[in-house]
Amino acid sequence: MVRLMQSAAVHHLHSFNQFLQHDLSSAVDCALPHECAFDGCHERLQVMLQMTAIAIDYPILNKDPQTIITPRECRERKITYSAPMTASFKCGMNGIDDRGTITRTAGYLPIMVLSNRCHLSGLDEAGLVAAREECDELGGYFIINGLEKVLRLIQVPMRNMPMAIQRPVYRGRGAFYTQYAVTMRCARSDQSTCTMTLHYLSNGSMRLRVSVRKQDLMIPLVVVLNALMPDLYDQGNFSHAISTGTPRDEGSKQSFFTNQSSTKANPLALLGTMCASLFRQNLPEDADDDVFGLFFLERYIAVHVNSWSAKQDVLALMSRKLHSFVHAKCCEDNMDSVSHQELLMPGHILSAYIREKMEDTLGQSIAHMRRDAKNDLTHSSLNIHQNILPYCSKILGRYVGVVGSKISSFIASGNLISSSGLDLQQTTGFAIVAERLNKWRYLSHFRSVHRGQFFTTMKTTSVRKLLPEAWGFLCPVHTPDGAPCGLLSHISAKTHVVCNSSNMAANTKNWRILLIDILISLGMLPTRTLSLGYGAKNGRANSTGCTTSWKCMSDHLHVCLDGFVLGSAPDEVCANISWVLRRLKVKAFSAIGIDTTLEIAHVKQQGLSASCPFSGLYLFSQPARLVRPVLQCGLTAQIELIGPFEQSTLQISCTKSGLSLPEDNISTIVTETHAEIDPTVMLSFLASLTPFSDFNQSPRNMYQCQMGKQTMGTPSHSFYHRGDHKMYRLLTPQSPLVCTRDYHNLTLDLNAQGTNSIVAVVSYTGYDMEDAMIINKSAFERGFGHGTVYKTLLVDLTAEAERRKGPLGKTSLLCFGNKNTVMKPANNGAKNTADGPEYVAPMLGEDGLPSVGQKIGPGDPLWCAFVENCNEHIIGAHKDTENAYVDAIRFLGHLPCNENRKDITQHRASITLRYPRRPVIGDKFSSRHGQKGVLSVLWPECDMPFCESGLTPDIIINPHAFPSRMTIGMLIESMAGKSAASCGRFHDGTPFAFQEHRKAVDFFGSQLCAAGYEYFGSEPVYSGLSGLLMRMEIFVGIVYYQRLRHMVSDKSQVRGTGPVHPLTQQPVKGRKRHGGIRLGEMERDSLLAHGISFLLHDRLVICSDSHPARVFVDTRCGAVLALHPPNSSGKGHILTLASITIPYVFRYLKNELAGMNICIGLFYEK
Amino acid sequence: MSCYSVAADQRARRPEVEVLSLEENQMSFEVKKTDASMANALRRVIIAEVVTMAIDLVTFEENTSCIDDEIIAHRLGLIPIKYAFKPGKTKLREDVSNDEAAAMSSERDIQRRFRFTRDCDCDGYCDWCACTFKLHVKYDEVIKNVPEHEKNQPYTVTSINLESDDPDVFPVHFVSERERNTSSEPGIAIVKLAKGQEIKLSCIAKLGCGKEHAKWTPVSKCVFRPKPTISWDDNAVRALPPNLRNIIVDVCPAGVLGYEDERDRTSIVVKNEAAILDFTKDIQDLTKQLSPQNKPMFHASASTTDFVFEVESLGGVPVDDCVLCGLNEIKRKLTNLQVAVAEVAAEQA
Ligand SMILES: [Zn+2]
Repeated sequence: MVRLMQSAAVHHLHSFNQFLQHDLSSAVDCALPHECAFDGCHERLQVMLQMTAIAIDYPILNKDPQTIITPRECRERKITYSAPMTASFKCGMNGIDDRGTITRTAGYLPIMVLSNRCHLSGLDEAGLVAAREECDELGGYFIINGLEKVLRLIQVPMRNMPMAIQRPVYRGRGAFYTQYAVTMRCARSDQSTCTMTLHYLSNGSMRLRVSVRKQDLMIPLVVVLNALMPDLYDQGNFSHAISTGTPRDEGSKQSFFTNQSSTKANPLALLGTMCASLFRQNLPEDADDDVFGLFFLERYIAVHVNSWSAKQDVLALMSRKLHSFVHAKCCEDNMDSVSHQELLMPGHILSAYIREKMEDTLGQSIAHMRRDAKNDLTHSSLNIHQNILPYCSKILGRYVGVVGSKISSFIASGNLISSSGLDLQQTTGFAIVAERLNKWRYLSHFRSVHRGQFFTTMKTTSVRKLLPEAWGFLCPVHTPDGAPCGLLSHISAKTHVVCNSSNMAANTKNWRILLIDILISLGMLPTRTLSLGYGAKNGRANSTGCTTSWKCMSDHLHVCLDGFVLGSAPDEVCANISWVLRRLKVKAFSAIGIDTTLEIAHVKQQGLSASCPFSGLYLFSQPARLVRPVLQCGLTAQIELIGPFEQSTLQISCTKSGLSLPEDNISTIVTETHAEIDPTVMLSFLASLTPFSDFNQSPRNMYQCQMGKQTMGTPSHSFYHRGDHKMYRLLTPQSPLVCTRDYHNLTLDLNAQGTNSIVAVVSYTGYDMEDAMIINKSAFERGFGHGTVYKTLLVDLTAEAERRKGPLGKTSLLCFGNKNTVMKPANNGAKNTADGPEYVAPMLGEDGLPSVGQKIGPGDPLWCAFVENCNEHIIGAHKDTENAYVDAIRFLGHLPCNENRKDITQHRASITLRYPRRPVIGDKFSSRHGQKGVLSVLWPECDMPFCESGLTPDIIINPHAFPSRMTIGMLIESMAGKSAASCGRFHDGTPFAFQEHRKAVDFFGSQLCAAGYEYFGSEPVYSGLSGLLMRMEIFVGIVYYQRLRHMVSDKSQVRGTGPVHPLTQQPVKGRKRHGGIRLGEMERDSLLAHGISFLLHDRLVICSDSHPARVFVDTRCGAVLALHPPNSSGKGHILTLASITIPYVFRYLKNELAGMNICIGLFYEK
Repeated sequence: MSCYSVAADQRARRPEVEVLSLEENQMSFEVKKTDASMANALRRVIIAEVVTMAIDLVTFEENTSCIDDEIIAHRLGLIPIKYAFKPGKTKLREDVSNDEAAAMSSERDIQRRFRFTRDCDCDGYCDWCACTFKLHVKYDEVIKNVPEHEKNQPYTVTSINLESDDPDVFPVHFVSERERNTSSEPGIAIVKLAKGQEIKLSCIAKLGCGKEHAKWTPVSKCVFRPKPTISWDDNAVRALPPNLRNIIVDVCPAGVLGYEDERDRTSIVVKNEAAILDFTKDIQDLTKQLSPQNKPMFHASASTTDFVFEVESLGGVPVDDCVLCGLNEIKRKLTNLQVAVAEVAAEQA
């Protein structure tokens, strides 16, 4: 059984594996061949290049297949975990398809850790530990320059589903355009997509919009249809298909096909002329319009189906939906709801990106050949004729080698550099760094889903809404507050993403045919396309002798499988079909072969009105869909995986009651068809970790999801083998006394991140006001909340030498070393002795680096290097103001690109420093209920209040923290923790476990009572100062407290005077640069309001850019500027000067204004 | 049972101490005829100002274990250190004046043997103000001595491995015999070593008290509570039917109330005096309801003069010495106060 933890990133892994196994080869098949013609003197030479295969190896180092490289090494060495990728091309000449195969290396492709191409794949726990990984390594990320990068899951419109949309901006697209459109995102077999949008024009016609290389192509639907079906018979059928029975429609039906008779005889050529300009480089220069038209239909129109007639069925369906939408017979589909969305998977975007880059490569190679053909006509054509393969190989080699690095930089930066845009709405933000701040944060990177970069700039909040359709799929709790609120959500714990066409993998054809057989036998009328034989590739539909279902579609629902229109059936038949399929889907014996993730959405015919969705029976089997398990009602409740679109057609009860429904008579089913497995399935991993979250006010649970991700914990067990820039570690982690079921399922105890602490809720010293908390000094001294920060810094001497490049631009070679090489002049043949001490930096070792465990104070040397052939030394100092200890030092060796270098000296080293961080006043702590607080004082144990048992609390918080926040869950946890400690067992805090008839308070209260405590958990407490009993009983219990990473020592900023900006002379900003803190307008206003003008003057002038200036007193201008110092002994007026103090910026302003011929005068009065 | 007299003046209260129980590491005693402030002073002094010894400075020579130096040092500091006076063998400080000696409770007092380092005129530390411990464990060597079936396990370095250079000073491995018998380790765990790992360090233990750092606190528990004064209206209780008497007994958690005689079941007594004050109100309310005269049959109130202490030692200082040292500390402070007051009075006169 796969543990829940391992399943956290499994969709990333499966998607990448699917990309390696299937998508990549499909991408190769889909890639366009490129052609080029050479016009020689004697003959014409037609060269064709086509990609035939991409092979991906295992990650290796230094191009040597023997030296394998592991992810651990890449992390430590700050290099990319990548494997060589080779591309094979077929070269054809003069129509002969295969003149030979060219195989060239295409660079290095980053490999997802734990995928099928990773060396760690298939290792067990012990194997992973031996490879210096975590024992529960998730994989699912790439390592780029030592950083762990995750490709973000992005919500994109559902594929192969026509969706009715309404956008006022569409009216601006041209004359007659209306706001109505139907859009469909069609997916090719390599998972790349192509969106077509059908616009409705107020004159009754329709236009199809397709984006080709980011350019919108608007083509009248009739032109496309004519090209697809030249026969009048089909046209008649089509008119039926789109008609919805209104008189106005009848009119448009008449006119639909009339205006085209006058145009060219060949509709394909007509289409070709409309789009030819966009495809010039893909096709031979002499291709005629027919070819362009064909190319366009094949590559851009309904790309999810192959046959011509299937494409026309799809267009018919779209136009039918558009008509009913325009005539208010169906409602708009909400593109913001999860029911109309799927996820952009890492493998899908990679395959699309690789294909595009490979096509670019071919295009560049062909362009190169064309240039060659032009420039060097006779010579090259002669050459080419004889050795076409070497010639092509040479040209391809010039361009194909960079593909790998382009993909690396895509994953590294998250920026998509693409000519087509890959049918996506954004070009940035595709990759995020998987920070190992703690396990919780790390996990949620793989579970996060983003709505898209485009929406972050949107002013409206509608996209951020929590819609009911997202129920069960996206967690309603786990979304950040602030800018990404509602756009960045997390998939719920039980939800997973379909990554492969699972059951279809073995026998794709058979599975589909079987499904179609079932559908037909249950009463579906097949379309003509289907009855002609499924999968007739590229064949023009034969027009004669077939019945079609389009005519009777008016009262039938259509049946679609992955956007392929299979046929139609009446509503009752569809209900029956979906019922039967649903039963087959859950059967454990999958001999029948129905995909367990098949999405069966029967949108019932509920009357034709603008509030009902467009009816139909939609089946989806393709990847990238979210699915989640629910219980299917029946005699035996079985687990069924449902998708979000499917969910909106189902009746799902929240509890298991009322499950047994008659299985034989489906027409009587009016109540629930499904039930939730557990009420907690709607929660994401993190949200499900909050104990008793059902007792809390909901925003507090959201805050906890954020704070859980900022907690110091146990991010890793292999600290020594990681070179992360910054890591936080809690030294006293404990297993929580009260935790939820998912905490155990996720085995998060391995990475505990908190401490069970005795918490008294009392207002005791005055130091606990406004969310401040008091910590027992003795508890602190015994280790409460102690933590460590690890920082790794990279010393790159090559970069250092570059930075210190002399004025002559000469770079000198730097080497680590510490020996003092300044020699005393040798006298009388005696041995040269070093002048001065033996080492330049006495604190460092001979290699110029500190020893492990050494204490490094502020300003101490951290590394030392000498300039080769020179007696100069460079010492790198510890820049922080804190003491640190050296945790590890690594020499990083050479990068593969440096292999030709002869010397073996080290030029790169990474130094990991350890900063002990004991809690100090101002550090942030929180419970698991969004109750954060700041440490205000360490209070001595003897002064703390004490219980009758002698117990003193570790933490004191103020009772005012509760009334407005309403975090009852924390109070329950406190009681449960106390009872757990006194009973000696762990308590379960899973939400929704208690009900009205079984209250949590009673459950834990009675346990506390049995343990000799007061029922509600309060205790008589004595004041530690006076020894007298306090008037009230105090609520004391055990709460799991987290220490957050926000620490005062990282933030404290102090400045009297210091560095200033060279232009304005004002203090620079930034803590690192020892800058100042902005005293803004509002702060200034409040000082003004207080009338503290001296303070204001001190802050804004003296501590800022105070500047002594001299002003001309008795001239009219009162200028501050003077070209020459006024000379009293000179001729002319005797000028008097007065010294005044002004802010320097004022002088600067005056300078700038003087540049515009404006003078500012200051008038001085004694 | 022994009584200590604290004050000498005729007008002063004459507090009395009665030891209720004294076990290996815990003690219970009653302080009578005083007030809460005095009791609290004793509690605070025992926690914060009894002088003990704890490791304060650690010098690492080798640490290849997976635990960082500073964490090991912190753990070492928290190990209780015991000083055991051996009459005739232990050489005591010679610079202790008679007054000082008289102020200390006994020859067992650690300050008869050691000085505070800050009071010592040595350079750094010396035998009179510190004690040195050495710890050197090499996995590959110690593993030779363990049984075959444990050879693959990591070796746990415990307080047993700490070697003291003073025969009278040693780490405390267990607080009590009971703890020793139930423990799976031979002492307080410090760090675990795996194959090839080694730890070599020397530590210096110094004197200190709890208000400097918690590691010098000698007790894990020191608490007092006012002694309750209890009275029952026995006649009224006896007059009740047996089932109502049962209800009275059950109003408190088990063990708080009980029958004087289990067979007779006529008179109810308080079995747990410590807890009774928490439940006084409950019992009063109940008996008032049950009483025909609407009068509570039970009265209990906290005494303002008598207090029951419970002290639990960590093992470094014997629990009775903790209390004695605490009392002496108060005495010393009061003497200082007395002297200061006298000085001020002399000045003003
Ligand atoms: Zn000394």
